[in-house]
Amino acid sequence: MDRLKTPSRSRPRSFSADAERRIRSFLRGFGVADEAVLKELVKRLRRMAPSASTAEIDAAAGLWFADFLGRPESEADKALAVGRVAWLTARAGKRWPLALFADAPPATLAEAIRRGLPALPPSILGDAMPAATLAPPRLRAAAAKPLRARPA
Amino acid sequence: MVHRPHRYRAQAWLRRGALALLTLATTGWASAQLSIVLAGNHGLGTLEILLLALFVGCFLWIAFSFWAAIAGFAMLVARARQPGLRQPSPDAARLQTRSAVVMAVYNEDTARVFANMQAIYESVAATGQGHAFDFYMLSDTTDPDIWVAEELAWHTLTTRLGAGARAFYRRRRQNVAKKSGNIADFLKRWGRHYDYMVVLDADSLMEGKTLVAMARLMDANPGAGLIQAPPVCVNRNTLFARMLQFAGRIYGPVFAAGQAFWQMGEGNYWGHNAIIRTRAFMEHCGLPELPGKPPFGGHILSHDFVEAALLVRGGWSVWLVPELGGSYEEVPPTLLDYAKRDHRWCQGNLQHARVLGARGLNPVSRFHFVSGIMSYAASPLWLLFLGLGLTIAAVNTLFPKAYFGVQKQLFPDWPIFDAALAQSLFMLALGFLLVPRLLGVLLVLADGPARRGAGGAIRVLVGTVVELLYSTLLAPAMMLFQSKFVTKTLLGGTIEWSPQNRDDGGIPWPVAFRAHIGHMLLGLFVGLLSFAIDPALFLWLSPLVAGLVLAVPIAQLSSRRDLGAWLRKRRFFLIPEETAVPPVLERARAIFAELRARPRGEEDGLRRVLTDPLANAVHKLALATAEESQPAESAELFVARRKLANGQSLSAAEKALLLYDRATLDSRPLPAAA
Repeated sequence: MDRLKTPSRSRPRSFSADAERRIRSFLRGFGVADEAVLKELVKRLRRMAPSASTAEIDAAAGLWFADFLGRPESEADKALAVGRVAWLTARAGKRWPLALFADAPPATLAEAIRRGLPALPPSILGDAMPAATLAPPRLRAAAAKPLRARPA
Repeated sequence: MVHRPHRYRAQAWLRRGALALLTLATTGWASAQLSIVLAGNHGLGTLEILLLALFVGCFLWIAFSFWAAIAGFAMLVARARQPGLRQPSPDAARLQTRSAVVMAVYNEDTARVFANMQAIYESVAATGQGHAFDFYMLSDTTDPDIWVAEELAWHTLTTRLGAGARAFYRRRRQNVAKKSGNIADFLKRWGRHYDYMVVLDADSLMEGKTLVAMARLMDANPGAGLIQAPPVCVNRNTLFARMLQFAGRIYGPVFAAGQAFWQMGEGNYWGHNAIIRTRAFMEHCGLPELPGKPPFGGHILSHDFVEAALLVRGGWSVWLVPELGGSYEEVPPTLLDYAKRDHRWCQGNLQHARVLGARGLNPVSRFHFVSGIMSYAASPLWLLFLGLGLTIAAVNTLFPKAYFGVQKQLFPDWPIFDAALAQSLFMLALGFLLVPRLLGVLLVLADGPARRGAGGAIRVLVGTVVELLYSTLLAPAMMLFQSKFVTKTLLGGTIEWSPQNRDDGGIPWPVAFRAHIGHMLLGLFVGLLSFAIDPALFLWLSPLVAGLVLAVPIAQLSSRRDLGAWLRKRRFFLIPEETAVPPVLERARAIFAELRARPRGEEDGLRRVLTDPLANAVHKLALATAEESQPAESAELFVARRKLANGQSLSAAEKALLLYDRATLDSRPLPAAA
């Protein structure tokens, strides 16, 4: 109700609530349920992604997973996708929740993640496959020409 | 572009020449005999000439199959290998080339296809050559619930196979050009990473050692573009499918060896269970859309024949190698499922009439197209033949020839009908159809393990007699089905692309009745007519009449799983692969049972992705690996989002759209993983 009465004051608070909701939603996607852990992780992620926009959260998380998995930063998006699957497969959200986005995650987590890490297919090449010609021989095409040219 | 001299070609043409000579000679002799029978002492009229022409067309077909099978039998007895194909060195060196094993699926039973893939993967790994193979599940699934189930099954598969398992999943957003488009999409994305690809159908199973042997054969034959391993039909339980399996296993090898005998390096592609040189395929096998509307225009449906023809045109050889073994598939469980598949194949094969005259094709490839067309066009030709024969008989009865002409004559013109010659012709045709099958039986009886595996000599013989009787009764209904499909296609009708029924479900009586009522009525009509004309004619036609009149019970009873199981328990219609189950089949069954026993969870795919963090993560990973882009903002997307927000029901297309929508996938608050 405050927000309706004093829109100027409520604007940054609303923005902050929205950001927190986004971050919490993102963290729940890692299977983190404990409220105290969530609070700590929200703080951590706010430091990593100050604007807390979806893109920034993804980018920051992607960089963390790229570093954690030993992949190049250019593959941060794929590292996030594959790392999250491995994280959830290892049920790390229950076993090592505070290791998420930590500076020095435990070796046991690294081993569990390695075991659940799906392999990625090789890079997409985007080649062309030229369409084969299945036209009849030229002779027949030429022979049919006068017929086609004939007025109806 | 010829990559290396095809030394087999002279021998291949010699073999084909010999077969053609035998086919023409026997057809010529049989036609001459029929002309004598038909002419009697009155000569050949228009109807008789037409009948003779139809006979020539049909007999050429069975004569060629007969002689090819005889050659195949000789090859099997001699244990001869394909002479033009260089055998790899026996030492088991580490494979240096890389192959992709691709399985194309479309709204299939998820547990079944992933069980098959896992079994093949493990079988390859057991050979010690796993490093040389990557596995791809290429989905064209349109049902969003099955799509998400496939993604989760893929995740389960990678978890079960362990870290670093090279099994990948890709779902195509638009299933353009059906299976051929699906494979082409794979090749454009990843094809160049691999030397070869092995194409599998959803029901395909292959032993790891077979896959390795195929890769080695490709290595040893750099001019080979494709090697086809003929599959053995397995895993079925209905009576219909068990008889089909039995027939395929007992008679099939003779026919396959016969094909390999004359095709040599200008063979055909059956669409699956084959290894293909990716570079050759990518260079030559991009399929164009044919001008005009379906069924003859549009995308090429039976793409496999065309792809084989294009490979051969490009200078690559295509081989059928029957001795490979370790290659399996499943048959449709019931007659109606079989007919449905036939309808699809019929349309595809008839479409080849548009490709037949394409520039630069090898004559053998053109012959493959003709034989594919004839495998369906033969039915209406036989139907016309029978109809014409009946008409001639009716005309002769209704309008008997005058024994005495207008002019005075001492002796009457007795109508001459050489019954003995007619009977010998009938026996010849019957022999051409039966002998190759009996040779197949002979081979099994002579092979101890195969004979014991098929239930022993007595059961093989009893099974053969019953199967022959059954297929004789089935033939008239199939002839009518195929004639209908051909006519429908020629009139511009098309068939929808629907997934094949792979479950052992029976046909209810009303469904069988609706499908065969026309056949029954026609059978009654032909029976009554022939009896009215001449009881002897009725006897000649009795197998055809019986097959049609009994079509409903034949279809229904043969679709029953309990009858199939009952006979199996008594070791009838058994195949050796059921007695000594190949490891890959056994493993696939065990995995399938395990997967089926697992709790399925939320069935609604979209709901699952939006509420289950793991499903959400797996789905996003699948999108990321396929590098699928965000769908453009559109009215459809807006409506779908609104419906989702309001809790309204969504169509399959809307669910699919939302499953690509990043905003939807990100915005929903996800509960913590249980």
